[in-house]
Amino acid sequence: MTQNKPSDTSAMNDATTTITAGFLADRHRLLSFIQGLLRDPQAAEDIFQEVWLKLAAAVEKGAVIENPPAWCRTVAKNLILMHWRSQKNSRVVVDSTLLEFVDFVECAYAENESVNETGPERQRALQDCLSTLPEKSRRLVELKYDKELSLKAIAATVQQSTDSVIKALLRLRQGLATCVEKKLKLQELGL
Amino acid sequence: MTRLEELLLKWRHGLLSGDELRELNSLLGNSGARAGLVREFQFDALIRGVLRQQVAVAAARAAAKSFKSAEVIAPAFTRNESWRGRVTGWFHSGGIRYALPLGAAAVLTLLVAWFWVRSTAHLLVLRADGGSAMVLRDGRSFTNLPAGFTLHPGDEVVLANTGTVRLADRAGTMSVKLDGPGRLKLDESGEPDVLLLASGSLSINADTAIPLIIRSAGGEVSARNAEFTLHADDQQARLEVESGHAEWRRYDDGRLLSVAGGQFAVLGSGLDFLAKSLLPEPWLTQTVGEVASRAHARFDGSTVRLVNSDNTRRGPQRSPRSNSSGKGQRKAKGRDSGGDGFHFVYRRLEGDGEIRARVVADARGSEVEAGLAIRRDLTADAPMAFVGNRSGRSLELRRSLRRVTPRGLEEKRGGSYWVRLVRDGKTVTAYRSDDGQLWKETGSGKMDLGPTAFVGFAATSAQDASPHPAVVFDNVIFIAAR
Repeated sequence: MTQNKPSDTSAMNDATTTITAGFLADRHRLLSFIQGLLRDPQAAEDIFQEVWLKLAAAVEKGAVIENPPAWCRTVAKNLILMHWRSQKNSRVVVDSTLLEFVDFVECAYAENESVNETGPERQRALQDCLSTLPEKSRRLVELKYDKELSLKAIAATVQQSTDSVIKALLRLRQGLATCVEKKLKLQELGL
Repeated sequence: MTRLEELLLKWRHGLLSGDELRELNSLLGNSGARAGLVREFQFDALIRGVLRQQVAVAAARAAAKSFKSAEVIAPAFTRNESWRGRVTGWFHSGGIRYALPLGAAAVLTLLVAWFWVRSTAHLLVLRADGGSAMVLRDGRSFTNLPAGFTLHPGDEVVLANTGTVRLADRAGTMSVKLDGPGRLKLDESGEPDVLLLASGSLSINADTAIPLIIRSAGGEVSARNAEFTLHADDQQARLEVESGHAEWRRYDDGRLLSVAGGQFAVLGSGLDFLAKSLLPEPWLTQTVGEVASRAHARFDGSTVRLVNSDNTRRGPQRSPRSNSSGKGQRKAKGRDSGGDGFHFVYRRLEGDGEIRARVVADARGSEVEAGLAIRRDLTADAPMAFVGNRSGRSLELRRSLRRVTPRGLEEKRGGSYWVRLVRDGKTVTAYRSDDGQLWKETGSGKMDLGPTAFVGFAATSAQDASPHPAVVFDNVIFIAAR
């Protein structure tokens, strides 16, 4: 830890508080960015934690970060690329096409900073929608998003083909998204 | 479902080929697609977060439920629990609250039952009608006593006249016979094995675990496994022990006298307190050869009584006429050396002489071989002449010099019969009679009995290895020439 003068320390504390508050407010978007690129949920969690540590360290060093969300996505992108490159048996080939895709994703998040569809209202709406799912659909969702099984493993578990599982998951996601939008619309109307 | 959504789904599952990735990049060239990508990624993260939150909440609820259940539900035993865990669990489950009272009640019941059995095991019960007997209890009198009438501590049995009262304890270890006139009282203290004999003749056959105590004037008799008779009145008491032994303690000086089977003693003022044989001199008794049981003999001058002392079988009992050379010799059963085996009440006979008596057999007389015998000595193989109920044709001479010719008397089995045996030099002659007056010679023979022969009463069981019942020889007459 760097020793600072009392006046500098007070200013640093304010900056850290501000940065921390901003990071927490944007954490769902950042996490969705990382999870969207990384298929390994555990690696995504580690990179998310690493981003926070680097951000805190930069603030402690007195670095001036004008756009913390963009700064965090850039750090996360670099960590993801490092992760891919460090995986000797990774099926992901870091080539120009992949780098182009990652850049597109980073650009998409940068262009849509105002899009944050992970708030509490949406979470509650999604909970209600999930509770209305049939048992078979509910199980399929859990295998995909909680157990983090691969499509082949899900297909083997539910004894269906991979294409059928893909189609079923897409329909489920679309139905859940529609359900959430309806509920949010009803909430806006006060119904 | 759009193509973008499909390609993104494949991307997230690693199923996107190179061409599809380039196609995806191509699609993302559109800003709307990029916004769609952000929404897709965020929606996936939202689903993942909500699901994990639901799973975590469900797990927490399940844990809370199980934790609450663990507090409420009593621990159940499992096979893998240690004995300490079982005991502790059983204790905490409340089993001890029921087991302790039940166990205590069971123990108390057993104790009460044990004390009751112990206290009542020796309560005397009438084996037959009391006849003229009367029982005094707490100032009341009971007459016409039925069989099964139970005597309690403190009860007194009174026989005003002659008569007999037969009693037995519940445990079946003691039989008591009181011949009147007499008075018998059970100890008031409740001691189960103490009797007070004021007067009368008390015959007891006891096989008790604890000593039986009979208190009478001057002393008390203690016996555990014995058959004895105690005659008592105000002045003196006479103890006759037929089997086992009894101890007699005087009240005045505390002397203790041990009276064995076949002995008697008298306790009274001015009388020697000694154990003496029930046979008066010069009469003696012993077994000849091997017999199945011990016996004791009592001779009052005119009647000889031979009674088994115990039921202990010590070997095959042998006929007093075994190995007789007479025609009527019974084939020996299990005999090895051909020696005799019988109880013999005898005296020495110097020179010539004779003996006569009536043999009285009880209902089991047919099981007894009893009669008169004369022999050269007391060894099992000594020469002997015998006349008795099963003496074949009246007389049997074993190792005699000559056979005896039968005279036609039929063998008698059971009942009473008179017999007589005469020694005259080397000749022994046997007689029988129906009334003791008219004698018929049934046989005679010559045998070397030596200068001093042994003559007397012989008895044994007709069944080998069986104890014989009591045999009585009465109207005994002994005549010695010298």
